[in-house]
Amino acid sequence: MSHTLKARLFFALSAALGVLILHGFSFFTLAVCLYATGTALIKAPLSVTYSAIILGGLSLLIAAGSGGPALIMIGALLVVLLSESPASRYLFALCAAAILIEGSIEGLLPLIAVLFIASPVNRDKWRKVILAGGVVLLLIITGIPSARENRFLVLQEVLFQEAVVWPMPAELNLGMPELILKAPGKEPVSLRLEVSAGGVRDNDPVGYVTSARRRIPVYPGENTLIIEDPEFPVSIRISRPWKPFSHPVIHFYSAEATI
Amino acid sequence: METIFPSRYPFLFRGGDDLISLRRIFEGRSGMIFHALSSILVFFIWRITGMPSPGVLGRLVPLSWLITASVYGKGGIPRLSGYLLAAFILFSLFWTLDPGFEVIAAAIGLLGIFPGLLALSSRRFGIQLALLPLIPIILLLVPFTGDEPHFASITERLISSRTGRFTEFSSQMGDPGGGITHHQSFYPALLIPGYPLSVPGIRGMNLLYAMAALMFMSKLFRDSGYKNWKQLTVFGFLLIPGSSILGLVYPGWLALAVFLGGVCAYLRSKNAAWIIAAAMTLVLIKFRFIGLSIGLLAALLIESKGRKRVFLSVAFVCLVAGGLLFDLLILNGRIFWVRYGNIAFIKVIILQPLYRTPEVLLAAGSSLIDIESGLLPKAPWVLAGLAGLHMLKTSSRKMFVWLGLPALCYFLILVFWNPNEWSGMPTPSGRMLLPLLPVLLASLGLIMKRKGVRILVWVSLGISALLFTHPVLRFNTADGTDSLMGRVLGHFSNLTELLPSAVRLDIAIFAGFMILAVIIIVLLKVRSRYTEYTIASAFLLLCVFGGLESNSYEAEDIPAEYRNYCTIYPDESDLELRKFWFFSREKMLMLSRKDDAVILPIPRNTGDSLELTVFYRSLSSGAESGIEVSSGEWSDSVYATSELMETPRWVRIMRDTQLPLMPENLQSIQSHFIIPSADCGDSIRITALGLDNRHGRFHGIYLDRILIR
Repeated sequence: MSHTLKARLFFALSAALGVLILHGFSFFTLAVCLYATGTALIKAPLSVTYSAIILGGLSLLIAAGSGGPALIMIGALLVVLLSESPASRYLFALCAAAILIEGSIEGLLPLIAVLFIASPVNRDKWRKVILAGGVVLLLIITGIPSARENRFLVLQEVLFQEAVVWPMPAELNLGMPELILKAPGKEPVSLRLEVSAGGVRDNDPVGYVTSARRRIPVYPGENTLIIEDPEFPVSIRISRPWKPFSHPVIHFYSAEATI
Repeated sequence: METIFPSRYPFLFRGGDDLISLRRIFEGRSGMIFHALSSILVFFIWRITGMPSPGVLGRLVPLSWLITASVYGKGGIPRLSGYLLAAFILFSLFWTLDPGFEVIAAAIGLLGIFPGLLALSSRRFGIQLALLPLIPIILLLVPFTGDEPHFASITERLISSRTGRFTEFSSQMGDPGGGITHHQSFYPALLIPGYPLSVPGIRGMNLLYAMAALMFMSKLFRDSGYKNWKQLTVFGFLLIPGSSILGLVYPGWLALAVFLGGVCAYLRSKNAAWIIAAAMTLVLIKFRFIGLSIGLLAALLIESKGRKRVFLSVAFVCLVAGGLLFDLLILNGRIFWVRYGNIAFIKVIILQPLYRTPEVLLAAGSSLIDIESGLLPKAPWVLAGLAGLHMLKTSSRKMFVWLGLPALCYFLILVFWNPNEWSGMPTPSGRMLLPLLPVLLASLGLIMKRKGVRILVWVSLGISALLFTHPVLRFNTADGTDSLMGRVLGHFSNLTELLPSAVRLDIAIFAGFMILAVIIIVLLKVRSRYTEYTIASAFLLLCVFGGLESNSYEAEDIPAEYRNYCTIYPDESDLELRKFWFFSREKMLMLSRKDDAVILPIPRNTGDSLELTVFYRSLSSGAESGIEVSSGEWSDSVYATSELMETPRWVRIMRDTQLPLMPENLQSIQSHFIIPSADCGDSIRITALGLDNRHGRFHGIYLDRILIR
């Protein structure tokens, strides 16, 4: 074992141990440990190793939700694509499998299968073909991976004279599909919302505004919606699933609830 | 058709010869074809994955690839570009999984052309061509805000006295008054040729000035024997601080052009008039560039010998006196006397080193490591630049003196002049440190091949690409949280606690980062093989600790889901508003109505009891105010009023005054609460007490920080 490899392994295992001690055991931290060990064994241009370290580190910073696991998956795909060391490729495929078991991302199975198929292949070109095929397969079978848990944004309310207002604009898309408005301690008599929607190729609703049992569609274009006797929290949500060449978006401009 | 086409496109209609001609055209142009195909790929991947902003970013990023292809000429495929393209595809595939991924994906999409830009820089007109792909992004994407509209309004007033498109920006916070803005007219006058084309026109003028500065810089590098002079020059506009105001309406690049032009002309002709002219022009552009002028004149004195040195010293004194007289008698003091010709300003300058030494030192340190305004968090390549300074001094003394001395003088005067506002926030971070760019690049060029430098440069390029594609993230508001970091990692990360901030000062963290920076600089300087390990270890340690659950809440960062109403104090982001906050410039969370409340989740793994510490200020201008903490069945309250702080000594020397009863002038209170775990509910609720509806405007509780253990 070369001096460099020994140093790299020592470095990687120390990092893995640190993660286990401080963050505790979970399938995510197991994936991080496998990832760290795999990084020590990478045989590729230095830029690949650097990227793997950066992605691995960032995955710890945004571990909550599905961002951290997604970064581990991206790192695994890049290394399997570019590393010449089969050992590192196997370790990265295994860490991707740990992310699958961790379960915060839906629709990963085709990619994991492709990673395991590509890992033993030593010819660079063939690995590229297999992984590119895997990405195409993923898009055809399951679509782009999605988060298992519901993600939403709560907008800050402000008391202004006899009204509760939400003055800050926000943008909803498939990455952040829901917006919540709350009016704690108040029972407003009406709610006026200024929103616009777009990014789709038809005139069906892009999303819905929901207040208790009422559901008001948000159509493409500018919308001024008025809800009498609203019940809070009010939710604005994109209803369109992922589809190629479609970028559903709802722009929230402002809202005012009269008390 | 057959008669027209062969004459227009002969290579397509000559049977076997046609293919040969085609091959000849594309021979050696694999790089060009790669960039053109990548442009199409980026365009379609953006649409297939449904990434946001398909109409703007989804077109501008592929357009950058296409322009790169069209100017690429002959050359192979840069290896890194293919790799970055793969990273772009993967990030776009996963973009819905985290709000920060769409930002990273777009940035990597643009970063993919950077290896191509660096490769094509070595060709004829390569530096100019390398700038072309970025122009659409600069002109169309960067919001027209900050000082830009104010400069534009001065330009407009120089042309016409009638109402124009920038009239509403004719005055600005911090103007000396009497119709005099704190910007001078010389720089706006130079923007007049672009004015008819509106914002793209005046930004275009600034691109021309940037190009002039880059040309002078490349000439200096070439004449000093740098082999990679073209590549270094391209780094000049791809890296922060160069990229932060590239093409924007700020005088930084023009000042750099004048400074470098003066040096180039002097080194060629040895005529001191060039330096004197450059020094005077710099003061006319913006008074803060006086540091560069002093540095230039000092360099001229150092380089001169014997009688010439004496003659030049006398000439300088006469010139300064003449300039001040000219300003006083002819220009009615518009350049110097209106702003600085008063006893208060002279007092500030004298008192600064005596009474405000810690603030001046903090300003100097924060220029390097402050998370919002410092160079290192956004441009870690500066570490390599600093490490190479010693080598620059020994290998090219001429460059060290002519680029280094003006940069040093400029920097010292900048932080000494106004330690609280040296950064110019909320305008793009890094812009005030642009004059340091040439000397740092010159030293970077000398140690480019050392271990660890490449990663620092490429991380810097990545951050620069992020700020090109999402320019709004260049703007920070001096609230202790970097907007770029907040967008990518969320505002509620534990990492915020670990990063150095001049606004939320923690001496231990600040000192720790300064020491780390010094260690990396030393390791780079001595060519240590541990440089990369040290950088990686520091990064991973930050990630491991930054990823832990946060038990400390900066009150003004508490997200809406944990807040009922409440307002941020002050609600404006301009740092000018906090200019006279003498003790801390940190924003606070104001609880001044009965409905205002903070509701925090109970952390996991609590023991028998939970200890809550609240740091706040309490301003009573009616009934005595206080705070109530409750959780489940348990509740406790405390009434307290903050005392007014004493006026700092240096302020008292300036003017015999007492501080007004405002939240920023109050002493901080610390209240501890111990909540038995058995009584804990799902959350902890903090509300204000003593709100009797008869109180003054500022009556209430101003939360600063909440600690849960």
